[in-house]
Amino acid sequence: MDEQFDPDQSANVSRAEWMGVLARASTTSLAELIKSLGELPEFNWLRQPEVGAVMTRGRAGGTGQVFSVGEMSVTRCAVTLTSSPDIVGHAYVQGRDIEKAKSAAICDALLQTNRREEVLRSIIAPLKDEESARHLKARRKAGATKVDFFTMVRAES
Amino acid sequence: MVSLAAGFDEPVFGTQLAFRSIMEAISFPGRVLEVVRPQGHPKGWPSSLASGCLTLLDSDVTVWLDHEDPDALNYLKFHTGCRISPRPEDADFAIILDVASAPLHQFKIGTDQYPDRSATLLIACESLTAGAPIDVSGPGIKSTNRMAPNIRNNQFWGIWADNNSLYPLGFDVFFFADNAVLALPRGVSAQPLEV
Repeated sequence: MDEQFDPDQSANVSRAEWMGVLARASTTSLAELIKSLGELPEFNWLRQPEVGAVMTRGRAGGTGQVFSVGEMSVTRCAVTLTSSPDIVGHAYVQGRDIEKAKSAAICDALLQTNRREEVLRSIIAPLKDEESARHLKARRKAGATKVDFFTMVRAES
Repeated sequence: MVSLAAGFDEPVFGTQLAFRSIMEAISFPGRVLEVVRPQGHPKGWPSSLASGCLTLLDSDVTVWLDHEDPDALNYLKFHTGCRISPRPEDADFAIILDVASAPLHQFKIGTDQYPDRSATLLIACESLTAGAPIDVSGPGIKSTNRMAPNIRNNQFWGIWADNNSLYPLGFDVFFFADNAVLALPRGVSAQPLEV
């Protein structure tokens, strides 16, 4: 089948990616990194931060039947920038930290403006690195406790 | 470029205030009530219509619009999460800016077992007091009440008589103009004044 190139689609993929990075980021790191942007742009609330719960779904081993893992707290909000009211920044972040949701929504809005490269470089990239480091550490810890089972050839028969 | 207007500043208190006005309007047909304004609303809509939508619609309802305005669709989807249907006969709520061309005979009137499964029409008007006056009577009205919504459809009151005769089936109507609401529940009958 012919795959058509859709610039919107490619833009969406990277937006999904940066929204994911912002959603999983640690509160303290995001609060620290956002300072590097200097003064934040003026914005208006489209939806004030609200805390809710979403059901997370999983598959055992990534392949089994889908089941509900449990509920997690999520904070969401939406902003528009005063300078460009057509741009809407959304945030759905884990946890119940309202400041984090606000920062994430502003980052999402800025990532749709000409400050995109700057935000990608100074916020998204470091958060992504931090996330991979966190995953690596968890994998190492788990790896260290790995037990290899093997069966010796039994003598009878 | 599609723009997205803000809803209520305080969604909980805003919708509670608006609900109070809407409930009082339908309890006293003919009474014009002021509705709290949201921060923003789609262009071409009365602010009270936007308040009504933010208050009455949620993700469980299906909505039909008589106009295809991406701003309005975005507003409804973002703030209420409602489903939009292209077919008037599927709609739980209908948002009508031009009542002259609205398919008033196609909306749901409910069933004998479930008369509540009917449509509610949200109709935008220029004024709720400057139209042709009409006397209404029925539940919630001691003798008669006079109302004068500016309805740009000569056939409306004829259709309303049909709708009223279906009671307990039939659709209900809210008129919205600027920041006010006026209700016409299905049980109310209307007699146009002799000129």
